[in-house]
Amino acid sequence: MKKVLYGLLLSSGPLFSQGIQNGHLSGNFQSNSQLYYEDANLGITSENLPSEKFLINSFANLLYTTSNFSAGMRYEANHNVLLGFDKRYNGEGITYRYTQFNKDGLDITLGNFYEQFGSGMILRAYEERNLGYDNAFDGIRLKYSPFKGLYLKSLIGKQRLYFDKAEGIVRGFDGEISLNESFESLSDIKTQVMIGGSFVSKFQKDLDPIFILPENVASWASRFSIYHGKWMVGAEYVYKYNDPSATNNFIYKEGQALLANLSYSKKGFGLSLAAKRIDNMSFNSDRNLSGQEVSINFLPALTKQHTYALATIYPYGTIANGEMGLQADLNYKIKKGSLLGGKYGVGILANFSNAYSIHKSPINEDTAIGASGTLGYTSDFFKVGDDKYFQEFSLEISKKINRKLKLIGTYLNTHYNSNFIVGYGNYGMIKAGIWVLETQYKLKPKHSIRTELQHLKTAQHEGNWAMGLIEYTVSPHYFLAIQNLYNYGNKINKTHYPNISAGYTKNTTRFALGYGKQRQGIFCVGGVCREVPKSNGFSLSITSSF
Amino acid sequence: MNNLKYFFAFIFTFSNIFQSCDVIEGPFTEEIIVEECAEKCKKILLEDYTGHKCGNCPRAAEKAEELKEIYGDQLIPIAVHAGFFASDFGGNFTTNFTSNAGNEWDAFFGNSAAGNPNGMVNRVGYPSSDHITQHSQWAQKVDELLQSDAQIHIEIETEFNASSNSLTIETTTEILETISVPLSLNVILTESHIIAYQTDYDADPQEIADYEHNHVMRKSLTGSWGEDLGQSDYNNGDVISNTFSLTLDEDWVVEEMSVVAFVSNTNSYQVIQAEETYIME
Repeated sequence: MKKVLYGLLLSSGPLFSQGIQNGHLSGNFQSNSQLYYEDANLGITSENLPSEKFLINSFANLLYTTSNFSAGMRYEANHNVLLGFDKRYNGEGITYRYTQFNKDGLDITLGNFYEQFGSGMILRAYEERNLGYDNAFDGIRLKYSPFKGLYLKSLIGKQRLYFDKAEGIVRGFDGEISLNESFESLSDIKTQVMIGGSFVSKFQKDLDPIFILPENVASWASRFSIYHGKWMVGAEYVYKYNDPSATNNFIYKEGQALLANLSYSKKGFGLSLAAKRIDNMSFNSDRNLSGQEVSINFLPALTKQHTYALATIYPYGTIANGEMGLQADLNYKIKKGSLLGGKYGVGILANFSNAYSIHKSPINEDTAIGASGTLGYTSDFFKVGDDKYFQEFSLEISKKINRKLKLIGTYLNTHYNSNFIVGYGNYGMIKAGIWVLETQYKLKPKHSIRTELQHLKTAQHEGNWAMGLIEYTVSPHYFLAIQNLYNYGNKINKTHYPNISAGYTKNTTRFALGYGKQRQGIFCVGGVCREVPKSNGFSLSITSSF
Repeated sequence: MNNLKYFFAFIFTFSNIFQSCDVIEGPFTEEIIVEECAEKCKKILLEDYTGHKCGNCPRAAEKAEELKEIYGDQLIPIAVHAGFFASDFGGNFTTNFTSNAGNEWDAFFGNSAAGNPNGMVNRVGYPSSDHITQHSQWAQKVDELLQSDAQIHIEIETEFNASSNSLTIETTTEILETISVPLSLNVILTESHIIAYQTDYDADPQEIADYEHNHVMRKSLTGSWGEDLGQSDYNNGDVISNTFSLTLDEDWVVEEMSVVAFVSNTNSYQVIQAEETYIME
């Protein structure tokens, strides 16, 4: 593998024959593997068990950096991919390689790169390994700052599609100016202002004999953010020209997205409010793919990301064809020594979020809403639609009792409209109440024990769940955890999902071995989701870096 | 000076990108003019991989019907119910639309694993993943394939015996130009106008009780991979006849059934010619 990397370095040799010596080589490795077993209780028979029985996802990154040059690559080997990941990831190869150098202030990347313009609603290439998501660009990117405070980026490339590349060519330009940095007269004032704008265009040939398709689909965005003391206000608006695609059923309507934020923070108190409206904003490198695998842009879910097992059962996945929603997030620390705060203070986190459909009207009497080969529909920008997609309220209170014991109590109230959100199918509006009590107890130096007790109550879908976890950690080397999820409210099959896992860490290398059952469900990060199938088996995870 | 140079280079890039926008004012569609074909026409097999619980699949079925209307006899759609969404879900979704050959095709070509709905047009593209095509790509693929002439002509004769509910099928495969690969003949039965439940994410309610399932593949008479036509080289004018007989399942409505025959390249699985006939024509 090193040979390949050095080959990569040598290929750019004539230009940079000097200055790449004395660099630093670093890297990391990760493998996640699982041995799968039949499980009559979960309905896993020899027929639906993967034929390979043993599956593994693994990758390694190598990175070489000097002061003004870097080159790197990633090698992936998935033989074959773990259940729940797209089978098109089966295989092996170099999936990411790049060189980047900086000359006279011009930063040039050749090869693969990740990028984000603004909030990402117009362009975002990123990797989320747990989702099996990677829409990296392969092309050229330039970054340049002609004067202090002005930052320009332009790029051209194709996006990764498993071990291949998507058909479309993406061209993008982004400019951002910090007024306070650029103009000396503004450098000392308390109010900081940043203004930005982007333009992104995708080219894909029109070979369709029926539709007259735009081969160049463009979008633009403008954004600002203003910081004044403890306050911040910001917004981004994105407009996309006609982009008929499999996701929007080949309508020719424009797309729009608006995201606005307001926040206030000071020591011990933070409040942020956000609002968004998304209308026909799926923007793909290939108009024929209705999934999210080659999204040019990223539409944030604007909901809280949870980590407790039962709180992750009903996550929200962004509905790119149209949604509007709000989020309010509060954190507050009751001071030490106060009546309620006690000796160590009390931490409070509260969050509220919701998402509704947008209002849609037919374009005329004869055309159904969303009919292919039409303008689709009209939509009043400020009018909320009839369907509630999601709503969630969560409250977390953390309290350190003494030097050894800390308690964290969490309550969630979730409304999850399974008819619209990808994942479970038609169970209507699933209303769930979730309680979690976490305790962290230090037995002695380096020895700690953590427990979780969770309960989910719902009359819909699979009914009630209970969960318990106990985890013993000897830092920094060992941990042992035992947990069980019990779907005791399930009318068809009351199932236990026990798990035991243990880990060992030495310096930067970590081994974790587990055995247990995995519930079927949906896993989302930032509104992008993948389905997780039920399974039973041993898992081994190894990570290492140097 | 350098700064200025780069700045202008950026502005130049930007202005170029800015022109990269096509706005279609309408009309958004154009009429396809299908060249009339009098005899021995090329006919395309369109396999729609679907399932009664697949909420996006009705869009693909609609596309297949739309294309059938445009291309008429030159397009032969079949609906292959296979994979997770075609399973028995209990309740309203117990109808079994699957078939052994359909399940094997699905496992082999990886259609449901790639996410329903999708399909194959003459199985072109296998073994690269290009063989799996989204319904929005079908028109383009069909159009491309119809640009060439038929290499094979197939005729199907059926004889149905109502008293024994048995069917005899005779196929005649006529080679129209030299072909130097082994060929397989596949003969399957399909049924249309079956009323049963279907999930449709765009419908309200999403479970449609009286959904009309068309071109449902019921059975293959030639196993999953067809019968070898018996030669290694085929010359213009070669004619090969095959006969098949079976007793129909009592649940099938013979008046709504068709025989679909297609000849494929045994090595590449690519379909070279297809034909369809109603049993009770």
